[in-house]
Amino acid sequence: MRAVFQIAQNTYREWMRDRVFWVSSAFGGFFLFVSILGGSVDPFRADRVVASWGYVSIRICLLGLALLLGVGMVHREIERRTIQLMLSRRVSWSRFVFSKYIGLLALILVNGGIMVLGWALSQKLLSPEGSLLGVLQVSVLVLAEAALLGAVAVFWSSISRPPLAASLSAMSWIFGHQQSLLKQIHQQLQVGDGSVSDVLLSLLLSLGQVFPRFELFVREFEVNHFLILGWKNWGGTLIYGFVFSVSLVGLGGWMFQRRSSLQ
Amino acid sequence: MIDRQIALVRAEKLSCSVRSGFWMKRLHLLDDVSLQVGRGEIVALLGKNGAGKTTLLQILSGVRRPNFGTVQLSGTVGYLPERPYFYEHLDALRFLAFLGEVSGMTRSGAEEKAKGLLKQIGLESFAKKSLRNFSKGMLQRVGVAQALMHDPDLLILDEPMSGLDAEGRSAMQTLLSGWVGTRKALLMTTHSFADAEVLADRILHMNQGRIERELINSGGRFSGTNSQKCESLKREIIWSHDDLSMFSQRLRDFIESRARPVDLVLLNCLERAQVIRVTVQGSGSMESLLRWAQHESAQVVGMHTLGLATEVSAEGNQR
Repeated sequence: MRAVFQIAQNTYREWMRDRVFWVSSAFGGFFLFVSILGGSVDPFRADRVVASWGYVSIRICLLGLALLLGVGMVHREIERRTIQLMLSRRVSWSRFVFSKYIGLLALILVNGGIMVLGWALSQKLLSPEGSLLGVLQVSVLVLAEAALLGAVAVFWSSISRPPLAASLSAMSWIFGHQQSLLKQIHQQLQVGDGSVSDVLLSLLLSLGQVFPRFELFVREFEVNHFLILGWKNWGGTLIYGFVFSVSLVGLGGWMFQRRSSLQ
Repeated sequence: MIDRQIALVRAEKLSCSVRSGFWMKRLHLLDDVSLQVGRGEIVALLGKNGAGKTTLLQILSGVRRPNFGTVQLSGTVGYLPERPYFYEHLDALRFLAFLGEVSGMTRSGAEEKAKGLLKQIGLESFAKKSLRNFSKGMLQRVGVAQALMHDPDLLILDEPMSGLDAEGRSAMQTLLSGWVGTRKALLMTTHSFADAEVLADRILHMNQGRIERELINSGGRFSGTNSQKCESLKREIIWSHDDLSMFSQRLRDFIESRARPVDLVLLNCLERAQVIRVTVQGSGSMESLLRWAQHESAQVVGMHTLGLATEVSAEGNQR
């Protein structure tokens, strides 16, 4: 466990040193600032503008971070051969990939935490009587979505180079947001005749069972209307994200090991 | 004291290949390689680029898996990769302590050990300096130190002398031979026969993924094993003398007298800038030649081994 912690800590430190933290914080801060400015245009709806913009800005920032860092973090270690120092110390591939992922989670958590704090404070300033519970619930889901996207990125990077892995991860994310829509289309068309469109839709829906459903984490409506989520629904989504993330990282670690032995 | 009965690593029939290029052609890196390194032994792997040295070390250290064959390790391994790159955001002390902790050491224990090792490699005053400011030679020394961090039983070093100056090489040789002692073992690759000759108890010569020759050091002389004939070494010696032309002539006569039976063959003799540069080849030790030259009042300015030469026949022709 000490090795996992040390590698995760080193990963986090390295990104801090590379100013990833400051750049992403500045990016998120800028978005929040713009949302406050936007809110000042319409004083009657200021809180809603800040809620909506803040939510989107935090999501963009954290998802971008998870995707871009997730696809490259293991490959970076392979290219500069620092991975060899770990493997020769009997740190297995799975353990190493898992440790790197923990480092990524730490970065997402710290960055996200600071941004959520800024978001919550601006919300509180604009509507002091409003509850922050909904903001916190949604924020945790945003963090979970970023963590899941990071796991997807790790998985794709285990079978492809970082640029392709980034594309595949982005496609998985988009696909994960369109599954309800696909279901609706399938139901509305009421096909079952074995036509090309029917087969295609059925195939996409089947794929949807394998890909993570990112749409579960999106709560734009609740954010815009300051609603509090049901705990069962909220907890279930978190458990779903956790199980999927752990499975994907585990699979990614195994794939990296397979690839290294086949090299 | 070398104890070959207690093998720290035993590799049997290792084969490794990769697929490369558009047509995924299979490229054989190692072909049926077996070796054993005993306690207290220093083994050097020599060979051209692409001979399979690095692949063999990677397999033995657990970095790469072979396609066929087995590796049995009894003890821990410290590994220095070829052309190592370290985390530049860390200072030397933190880097070593980090790897110590990854190996399972406590933080305080790892820091203590790291400080001791930095002192040993002469980088004590650079402990708090970021690795990005280190020169190639300094990084190489840090690389050897990281391999020693968890006090491994077997040290596997891929070209440890690379990037080191003469002083650094000498210090590294002292450090490594002292470290091995009687309890540990060292397996290293090098392109310099001189380094191998100074350090190694055994030299394995690799070519095209196979161990072609094995030379055993017996009292400063390397000889082949089993049916292998004695291998000849090519050496260069530089002497200074008050009367170079006379010394040169006498040297030729002396070496001529030693040519039969095969002992020494003069390959080159060049007088230049007050010194005579002589290249000799032979299976015999240089002791008699050096003693003779000393008797002739010649001063040795430099001497180094150029490498393993092709076998020399009784007639002095190279085959």
